[in-house]
Parts: sequence; structure tokens; C-alpha cells
Amino acid sequence: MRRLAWRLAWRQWPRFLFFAACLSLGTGFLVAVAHLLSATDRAVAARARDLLAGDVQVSSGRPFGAREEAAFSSALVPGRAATRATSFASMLSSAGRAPFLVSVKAVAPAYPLRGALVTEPKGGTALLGPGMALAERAIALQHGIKPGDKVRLGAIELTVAGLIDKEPDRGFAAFAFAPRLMIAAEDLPRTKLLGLGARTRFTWTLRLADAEDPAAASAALKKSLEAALPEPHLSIESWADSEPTIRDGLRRSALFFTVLSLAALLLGGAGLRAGLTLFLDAQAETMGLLRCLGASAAEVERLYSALCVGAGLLGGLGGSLLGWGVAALAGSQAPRFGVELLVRPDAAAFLEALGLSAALAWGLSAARVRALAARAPLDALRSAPPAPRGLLIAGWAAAAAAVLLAAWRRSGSAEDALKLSLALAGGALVVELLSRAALLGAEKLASRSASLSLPVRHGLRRLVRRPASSRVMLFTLAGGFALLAVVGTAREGLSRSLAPSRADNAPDLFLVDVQSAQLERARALAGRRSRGETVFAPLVRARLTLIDGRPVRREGAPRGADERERGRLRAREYNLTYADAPNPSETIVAGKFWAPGAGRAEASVEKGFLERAGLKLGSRLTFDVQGREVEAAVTSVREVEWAAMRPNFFVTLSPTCSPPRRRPGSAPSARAAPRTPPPCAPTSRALCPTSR
Amino acid sequence: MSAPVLELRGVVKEFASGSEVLRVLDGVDLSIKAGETLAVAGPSGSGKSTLLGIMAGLERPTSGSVLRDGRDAARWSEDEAALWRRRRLGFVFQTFRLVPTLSALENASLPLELLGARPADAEEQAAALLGTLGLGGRLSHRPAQLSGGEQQRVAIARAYVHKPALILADEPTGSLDRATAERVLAALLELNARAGTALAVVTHDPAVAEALGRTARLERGRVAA
Repeated sequence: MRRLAWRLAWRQWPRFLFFAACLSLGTGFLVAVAHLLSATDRAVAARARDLLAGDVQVSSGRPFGAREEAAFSSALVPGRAATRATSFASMLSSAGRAPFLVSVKAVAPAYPLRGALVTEPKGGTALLGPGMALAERAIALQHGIKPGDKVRLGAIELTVAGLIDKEPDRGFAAFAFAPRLMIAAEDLPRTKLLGLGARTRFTWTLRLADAEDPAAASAALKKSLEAALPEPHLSIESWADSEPTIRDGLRRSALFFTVLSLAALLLGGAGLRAGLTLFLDAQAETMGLLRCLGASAAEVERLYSALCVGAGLLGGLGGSLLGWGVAALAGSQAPRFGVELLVRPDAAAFLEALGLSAALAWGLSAARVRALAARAPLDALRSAPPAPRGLLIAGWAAAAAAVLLAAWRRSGSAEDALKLSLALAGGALVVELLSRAALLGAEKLASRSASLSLPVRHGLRRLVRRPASSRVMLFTLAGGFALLAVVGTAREGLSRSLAPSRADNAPDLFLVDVQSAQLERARALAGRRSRGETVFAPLVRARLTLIDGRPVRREGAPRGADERERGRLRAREYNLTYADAPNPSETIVAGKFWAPGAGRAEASVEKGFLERAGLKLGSRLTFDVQGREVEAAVTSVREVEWAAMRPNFFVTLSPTCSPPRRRPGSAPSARAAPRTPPPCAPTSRALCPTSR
Repeated sequence: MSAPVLELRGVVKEFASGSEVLRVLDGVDLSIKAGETLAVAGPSGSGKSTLLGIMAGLERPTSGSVLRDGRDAARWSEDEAALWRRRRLGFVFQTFRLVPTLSALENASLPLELLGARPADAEEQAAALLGTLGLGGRLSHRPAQLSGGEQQRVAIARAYVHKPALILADEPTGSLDRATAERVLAALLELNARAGTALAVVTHDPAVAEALGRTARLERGRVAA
């Protein structure tokens, strides 16, 4: 029988190649995504310590005090090293050029403790010294500034000593608020930029001794620092913390491509089902003959099931090779985008592709194979239609289970996988019902054949007399159009989210950290340059201290990614704003936004943040706003179109909560993002104008 | 005296057609022994093909008994009937029924492969038989590349290759012109004489019936005396 199976397949190889190709596209896509995700995981793990430029880091929006310094001193045992950095945004100017926004980082010579600062010329922080600066290459590309040029930062003039090509803790992706300007820490006071209200980030970073176990020692140090420094404005991270966040982001992106690949796989599956049904129907006579010659129904069923599964395995193999090739190609091109990806063959991904393809091929053909194999041999020779003999539900269940498992493996969430599978199954059911309805319509039309032309009559009768094949073909056709529509919609959505600057009303001028004293002048500038009225959103830094009266604690030992995310979101430092109304890029989806002038302390929370932080309508939030306690109830939930590039916030408070002006240092800064008229070249651009 | 290879006793076959019951075979008694040749003749619709299906174990009689190699096959499972066909029966169809994607040699060796013979042995025996039937030069040809007569000779080789006890042939010359039909019938009889196999041929061609040793005429579902 094995030999016969091989002969039947080999002699019809174009047909089997088509079956395999139906599956190869979808499985290839899945395999490529799996390989790229694995490669990215490895790259993130390898760079995890680089991402922090050290092993443990403490950061704060306030200068460190005596308590922090004492904790740092006790942590710095022999063999360990520490360094400090100060970061803030400011405008950089140079002769003959308009000022532009830069992200300033003042570092000590020991920076970075992990990873490497790659510069041109070589040297890294050794190139820095009093009056010297390193500029990110983007500054040279966008503004024509080159090594040797003089630039002005605040009150001092600096000479550009070199260009930064790679900064270890700049983040894994290439997106940043503004290009980097690195200066020596000793120059920082002379800039006179660190005045009251300046949005500055102070960091202290420690490198463990070489003999210490990176995971255990960093975890222990983080724990002891958290115990010694419980103040909520302090953020304490170890290198291991940077991994899950980046991986979560990558997994979210991977999930989108997984959805597309599963949809492609299902369409391929529909094509496969159509092809297999036609193939099996054409083989009905051979099956009958084999039965006449003494093969049992079970043997014939096994023979043809093996052929179908073989076609599936061939598709899985083709998909594996295709996916591996695509992933390897993408990996080879990744360095052009600043990412090092080492794509290695992933046996689990190959096995998954093979298993998925085989399960789909068997699941989609099992019922037909059994019906044909079990048919009375003489009926088969007379081409009588076969009666159903079971396996229909088992077959579909196997195919659905395979898709569900694949979705589960990719998403890491049973709920997401179930939703996705149900959506796909629902779509398939609708298409199947529509196909059946179309056939019923064709049958009714064919019964009134007198008024129809000969070709139409024949066409309709052919459709009606072979209902199984017709349904499969209609299903495939409809599924194909549905997939095209889905891909089109997804592409449109992606285009909108990835290219917001294409929108006519997208802002192209960003005013950040506008101090109270600068507000009127900034308003006048925006008024002259923007198309319409520019709204300045007040901004204060705050930390969430109580939820419904219960203290917010650092995450400790979170159970799973969701709990870690919830803890991180609750304990982080926020930018808050005060407003009388939501801005045009925000939509209230639950509760009610307060009326202008309402006297109650209320909070409006962004929907995604609300869900991930484990909050709900009615939650009472207590913030530490620059030392002042502010309590507000969540009375509305907003959906925010982040891609609109407006000043958007996770939490908006009612104006009642705003700090009294008389408190020194409590006045909020402001930000705005107007759209300038076409002839007016924007003075600065940034990719990430939102505040979270 | 040897026992019949196949014996039918009072076989009745009825088909339900809506509310009516159609009796196709009405108490057929028939037997065939090794080396014997039998023609089952009768007009169209007399139940010849149904009788052939019951003789081959492809259909069950409504009543009556079928003895294969002296054993009552009435309660055989489908798998038992299939095993008997595989070992003891050869089939020749009117329309040849060759597997279109297999060569003449592969088609002819199919029964041996179903019996689990080594592929090389199966092909060697099939090739020898095809050579006897004048098809030595056509071993690798597919059915579509063969004439009707050649296809039927491949089918005859397939029926004899595993040395069955009984050959059932359903109008084996029905799709062929007179001259080809005569050659095919001659081949069938020659192989049968050589192998000593029981041969039952369903035919409505008097010339074919005359060439066989005995004729059972089927009329209104009964074997006419």
C-alpha cells in the first residue's frame, strides 16, 4: 500500500504540489514570524544589560538626597562600579541655523558601564571633556552639524567632538523623542538649564562585580534598594526588567502578523479542501477498483488519508523552508535598521508547521475520504454519490484545534487565541452558509431553465449536481475575497497608525516644557505660526500613591506578565494634565467627562491604561503631585488616538485638582502641538509627542 | 470430485424503490468448479450485474446462501469478503477499470502488491504474464497510451497474476470491436486453460457464450433451465 500511495502521489505531482503550495504560504508566514521572534528574543536577552548600560539603575525626576546617596554608598562594595547621568530636553542652536530640540544627557567618564558608546571618530566618552559634546548622527543628517562645529546649549558654547552611532541604553528600536546630545557632567551646571521646574531625569547606575551572578545579585540589590528607598518618586530597575517590556511589545507586533498568517493559512486550507475534494472525487473509481480487488474499506481509507496528510506534510515542509528563507533574509537586512538579529533554525517552529499542515490536511479531507472509501465498490464504479460516514465533526475539530494551538503558541494567551479562532470559525461559517444559500438559489434558478440560455442552464446544473465541489469552490472564492478585504482594512489601519504625519491636520510643531513665565510668548509664537488656535496642555509630574485608599506598592514578585505590567503602570511616574474638556483626539467611552467649571475632583483615565493598571470607573486615585496629595475619582474613560500626535495623557484631572499658583515650584509646565501652514517650515519635529 | 469454488443456493436480491420492492434475483441456484467456464447470459435488466456483485461478495443477497470454497459466506464481514476477493478472485470489467496514473506493469502487479508480495517479485510475475499476452513492449505505458484491446489484456493479466481460483468477467468484450474481442476472448480462455481457474463470464454476446463450457441463462431473475 505504501508503494501504491507513493506511485499515486508521484504520478500526480503537479496536483500534490498545488496542495502543498496552498499550505506553504500560510505556514511559511508563521515560521518566518516564529524565527524572527526567537531571533529578537535572543537579541534582547543578549542586549538586556546593554539596554540599561549597567546592571541596576535608580532614577528620579528629582535630584538624589542624602538618603539615596547613603544607599548608593552601601551598594557600592569593592568590585562594583557606579556612574551617574542627567537627562533633559532642551533647544540647541548653532550659527546660521534655527534652534532645534535635542535630548541632552550629561555623563561621567565611566559611562557606559555595560555596552559600548560607538562614535565617529572612535573614543566614546573619552572624546568628551569640558566644552565638548557628542551629537547623534541624526543631528548631522538633519541639521548639517559636523565634528568641529560650535553649538550653543543654554548658557555655554560647546564643540562637537564626534558623532554618536550607537548608544547602548537608547532603546532597542530606533524611535526617540529628539536626537541625543551628550555632554560631560562637569559642564552641566554651566549650561544653567537646570532651573526650577526643569524636567530632568537623574540616574545612578551600578555595574556588578565580574564574579557576581548577574541575575541573583541584581535581583538582591534591587530588593535591598527598594527596601532602603521606598519613596514612590524613585524608580529602581535591574537589567532583567527591561526584557519583558520589550518582548511584550515585540509579541504584540508578532500577533498581528500571526493573525495575517493564520488567515492566509485558512484561505490556503480552503484551497486545499477544494483541491482535495476534486482529487478524491476523481479517485472514487480507483477506490472502488481497489475494493473490488480485495482492499478493505479501512485500507483504502488509510491509503488516501496518507496521501492527504502527505500533501499536508509537504506543504508544511515547503512552508518551513519558505519561512526560514524569509526570516534569514530579514535577519541579514536587519543591521541596516540598527538591529542585530541572528536567525537560527528553530526545530519547534518547523515541527509546528508540519503538525499544523498535516492536521489541516487530514481535518479538511477526513470526512470525504471515509465516505468514498466506505462506499459499496459497485456504487463507486457506477459513480453513485457517497453517503456521509462520519468524521466531519472530528475533521473540522482537528483543523480548528491545530489553528487554536498555533494562535495560542504565538499570542501566549488562551483568551486571545480563542477569540481569534472563534472569529475565524465564525467567518468560515458565514462564508459556508452564504455558499449554501448561493447553491440553493442556483438550484431554484435552474428549475426555471426554460427562460435561460443554454450555457447558463448547463452552468447552473453543473453547479447544482456537484454540490460538494461547488460549495468548496464558492467557499474558497468567498474566503479569498474576505481575506483581501481584511488585509486591505488592516493595511489601511497600519498605514494610519504608522504614518500619522500623512494626516492633513497632524501637528508638525511641538512645544514642550513651556514654563509659566514663557507661556504668553509661546502662545504668541504658536498663534503666529499655527493654522488654528493652539491649546496648551498644562503638565505636572506625579506618582500614584493610593488606589481606593490602599497604598500602591512596587511590584515585588509579580505572577506573570500582566501583574508585572499592572505593578509597573501603577508605580511609575506620570505626566498629568488638567482640562475642562477632552481634546479632539479623545473619545469618552464610559462614564461622563466633567462639565466645565465643575467643582469636584475627578479623573478621566485612558481605556488601555485603565485595563492594564487594573482600575475601574469609580476608583479613587490619590496622586503625589510634587509633594501635594491630590485625590480624584475616576468618572470617565477615554479612548485616545495616540497617532494623532496631540498632547495626550493617561490621566486627565479636573481643573479643581490643579496646584495653587502660590506654591513655589508647583506651577505646571505646558506643551502644545499645533499644525503650521504649508509654507512655514516647522522648527522642530519629533516622532513621539505623547506623554504617558 | 472437487467442491465448487462458488455456489449460490436460492439467492434472492431485492431493492427498495420508494414504496415498491423490486426483486432482481428470484431464487438463483448456480455453482462453478475449478477449471470450469460458465457464461451468465441474459437480456439487459435481467440481473446479470447484480448476480456478479453477489458472486464477488460486493453485494449481499436478501436471502439465500452463498458458499465460497465450501464455506457459507452469508455472515462474512466486509473485511472477510475483501480478503477472499484478494486471495481467490480475479476481476475483468467491461470498461477495463485500470488505474490511469499507473503503467501497464504496475496495474497488472496490483493484486500481488495487495497480497504483500515483494515489489520486484510482483513486477516480475506481472511482466511475464503481460509478455504472454503480447504486451511485453508496453509495460511502461499508461492506460491512455494503450488501445482498448491492449487495456483489456492488461486487465486480464491483472485478474490472473495472483493465480486466483475464480475469474469473474463482466462483458469483457463489450467495449471492443469484433476482431479485438475475439483476440481478447482467446487470451482469456487460453490463460484459463493454462491456470485451471474457474471462469464466469457475464455476457449478452452469443458468440462469447458459445465459447464457454456452460451457459446459465438469466430470465426474470431466475436461471432458465
